[in-house]
Amino acid sequence: MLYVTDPRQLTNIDEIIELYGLNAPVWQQYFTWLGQVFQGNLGWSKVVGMSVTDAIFNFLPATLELAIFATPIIIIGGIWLGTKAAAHKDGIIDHTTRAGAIVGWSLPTFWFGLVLLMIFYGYFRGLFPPERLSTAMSVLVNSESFVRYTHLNFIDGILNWEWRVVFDSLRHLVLPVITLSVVNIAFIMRLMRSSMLESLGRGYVTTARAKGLPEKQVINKHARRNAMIPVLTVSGYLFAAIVNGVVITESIFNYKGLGWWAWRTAIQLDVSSILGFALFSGVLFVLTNLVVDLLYAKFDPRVRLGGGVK
Amino acid sequence: MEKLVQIKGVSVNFYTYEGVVRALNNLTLDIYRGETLGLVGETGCGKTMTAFAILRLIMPPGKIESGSILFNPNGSESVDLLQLSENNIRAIRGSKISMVFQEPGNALNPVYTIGDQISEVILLHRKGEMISRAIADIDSIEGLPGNRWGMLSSYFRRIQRYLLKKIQSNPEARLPLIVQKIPLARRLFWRLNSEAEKTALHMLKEVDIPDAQRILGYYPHQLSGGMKQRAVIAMALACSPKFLIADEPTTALDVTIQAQILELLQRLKNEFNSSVLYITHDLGVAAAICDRVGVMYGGSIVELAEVNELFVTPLHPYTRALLAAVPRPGEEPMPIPGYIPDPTDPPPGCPFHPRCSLARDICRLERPELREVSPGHLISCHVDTGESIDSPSQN
Amino acid sequence: MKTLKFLLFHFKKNPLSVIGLVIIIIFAIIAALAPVLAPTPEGQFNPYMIPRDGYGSTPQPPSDDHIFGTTQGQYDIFYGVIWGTRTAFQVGLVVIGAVLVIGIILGSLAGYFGGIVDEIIMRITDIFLAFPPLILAMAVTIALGASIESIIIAITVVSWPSYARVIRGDILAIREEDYIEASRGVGASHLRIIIKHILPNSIYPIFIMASLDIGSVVLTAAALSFLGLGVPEGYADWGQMINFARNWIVGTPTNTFAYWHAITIPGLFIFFFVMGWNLLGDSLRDILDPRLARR
Repeated sequence: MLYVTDPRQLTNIDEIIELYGLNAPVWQQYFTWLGQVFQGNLGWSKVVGMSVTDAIFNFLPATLELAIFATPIIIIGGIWLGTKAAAHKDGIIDHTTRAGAIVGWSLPTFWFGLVLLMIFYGYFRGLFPPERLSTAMSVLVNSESFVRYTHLNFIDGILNWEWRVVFDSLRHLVLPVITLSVVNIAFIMRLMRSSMLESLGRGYVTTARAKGLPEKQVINKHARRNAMIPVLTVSGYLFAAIVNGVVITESIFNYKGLGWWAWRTAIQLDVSSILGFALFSGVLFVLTNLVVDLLYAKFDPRVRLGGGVK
Repeated sequence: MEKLVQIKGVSVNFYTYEGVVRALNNLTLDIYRGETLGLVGETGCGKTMTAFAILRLIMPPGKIESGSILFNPNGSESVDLLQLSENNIRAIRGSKISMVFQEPGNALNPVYTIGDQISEVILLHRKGEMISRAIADIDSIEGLPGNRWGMLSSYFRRIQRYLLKKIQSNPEARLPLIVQKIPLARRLFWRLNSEAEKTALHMLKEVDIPDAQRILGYYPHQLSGGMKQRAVIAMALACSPKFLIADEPTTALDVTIQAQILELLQRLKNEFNSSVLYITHDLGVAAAICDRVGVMYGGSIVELAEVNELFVTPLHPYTRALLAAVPRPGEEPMPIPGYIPDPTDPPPGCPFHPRCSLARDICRLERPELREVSPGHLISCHVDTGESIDSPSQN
Repeated sequence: MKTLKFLLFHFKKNPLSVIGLVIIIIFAIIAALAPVLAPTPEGQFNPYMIPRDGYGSTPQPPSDDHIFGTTQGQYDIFYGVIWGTRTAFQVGLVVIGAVLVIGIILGSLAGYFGGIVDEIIMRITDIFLAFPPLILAMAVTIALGASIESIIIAITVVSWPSYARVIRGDILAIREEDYIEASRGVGASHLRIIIKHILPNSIYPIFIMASLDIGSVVLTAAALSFLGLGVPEGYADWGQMINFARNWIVGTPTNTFAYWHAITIPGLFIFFFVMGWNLLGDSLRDILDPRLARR
């Protein structure tokens, strides 16, 4: 009954039920769906009028652009701030960054984004606009002369040597990236801080000091390397948080990426799309965790080498 | 004998939520050149704090309140370690004064190889030496007839030599520092690292680690406890320190390994002609390897004497009680009555008086000074226990 | 007594935590006094529906009738945020309570008994954790229809797996401790061991997690209602109020901030509420964690 939107369809209900196998028990429907999935058919997204698979590939580049900018900011910023806060514990920097982190973590993303829009788009007359590109640039990007190598606007802009496109797409990216980053930086920063504090209490830090190393090296070379390990574990969750944030961020800025699509399909009860999206993010999540596990081996030799000479 | 280190009236306080902990209370101690001084006492009496105070490793919430620690490495002039600038004390840490810790597993950083960690301290304090060696190395190659890649490698070698010379003449030189930061260009300093590694290898062999070459590339978790401790010792002695502080180095190890480590320390001490401050709660070990022994209680020294004298004629009531408490076969164990003082609320006067069988009124009021009662034998007690050896029940 | 002294010392050292506590208390008072502060109009059965003064879409600025003004659809903002506090507390506390119960039970079973029980429970949590939380919550909310209960259920469904995992991890660690062996040695039953020995020791991290999470639960609930899912239209919920305001953020051609009240006020309520819980949870964690490590 989720597919029935038009009363006239009611007459065809029996046919439709037959066609889609809707009268079969739930688990059988599930397996049918699964079978379809493996054949690459995730169903039809009526919200955007294309198949779910197409929709995913269509909207992916936009979200990717967001993620490419936001992720390094979140990770590097979070790690740097966390280290500084731990190294100067209870100092001014510590309290400020922690207060800042708490603020960031308490901010409703959607509210923050709207406020940003209000200020930078409303008050500053369109300085940082919503959506991906302004109308003029959109036309340019979709025109014949513009080759879309990656569908990532700012890269395509560079590759086509159309700097106006690059500039425009970056301008549209500023607010969404900020919105997405603020909440997550807070998260990483707090984790890094507590991890660093623990690391700084360990014996090898005292040894490093006793060797005469300058404090900066003690922190950066010895303590931090160990402190980053738990943060790495969390990267998987960070990915999930970014996907979350993406839904809200994109819906606010009308930024047509995966999140935006997910939102629209959710509101209109487009079941196959939601399932498709959930499946997609699930797969991505598993892949991310795999990568994280591999990175783990690089960072922590205990994992890499296991036991040894005794 | 000359004095290497003179600790005078050092007090260290820790400001915690439970109150102010007086970790060290007017500590006075001298360490002579070339001797092994043992520091014994129960847990919490301030032994490790003494070590940290010497190296100025006391971190907040701890604070060194007063006192001075004079250090005289060359026999010329002394410096007060507590007054030195950060840079200067760092130059001393690891090179002139070194420390070996209790838990080797904790002391080594798990994400770096043994070789890396030893090279680190070598490059820190013996950099000039390593540079000269590296330059000499380059020079020797330049003399040889060239090969096919001659021109290219010669060019690289000249760059390396130039950079090394730069550092040699001016350790703060900007250019080499910048090069050091760039990931690929950093490789230009490979000779320096390899020289340091060679030295690290030499140190590992000195401490009798088998298969040293392979161990250089191992991570700490791949070694056993005894080997880890040897590596830590190698690291501590890499720059030939004049003063080695060993904080219960064998407590975490098997007894058989313990014997090996002790023997190793003795040998190295003689070889490098350094002084050793050996901190332990094991009286047997102290008796075996120390020249003099100091007994600590409640944050200060209560007795200090030559090793034989201390064990044969202990004068301070605490030392006597401690020796009596050592379990002997066939005898009842004799623990010391009472508990160690609450560090936030130490008893007035002498810290030991609540548990002391010889306590008098004055012990409650005034803290005794450390005074010499016979040549080389100092105690801190109001009671002249010369005659009272056999009457422990007097009050 | 010692714990109290310990806590007080750390609170003194950490003014932020006191602020957090104060904030939460203020909100609690608001929630309790909601019928007094914003009385439900005569004849309205459900106090959670915000009264409407007309049906015009343009938000009205603050006035004598409407202290905080009205938002799109002429819903009274003051009424909305006051009763919204109750909603927030409801959602937050119920979800956390449910999550704690489910998480502790399942996590304990998994951790203590291990084997096949553990495997099954872990696989179930894996399934739930494979989805980004918001997406899953969205799906559940949609499936259950528009009501505050579906939001509560949805967020519970999404959150319990992490708690179960943490408890399980703690139990796995404690299970190997000697005093557990000792208890078994004197014949204690499984249940007794779990309740008397294991739980008291592993409970601290869970409570820290819980207090930190109330904030994010409320944020997620607000996000869901902001996106238009869950609460019926006109329900007193902060997220929905922001949703009402989103078309008005650009103001009028002359004054960008003409409708600032519609968006800022509900937003500030959410912000301070969540921040209060976060401050409290954060300092609790600061206090309890180092203690666990240092002691």
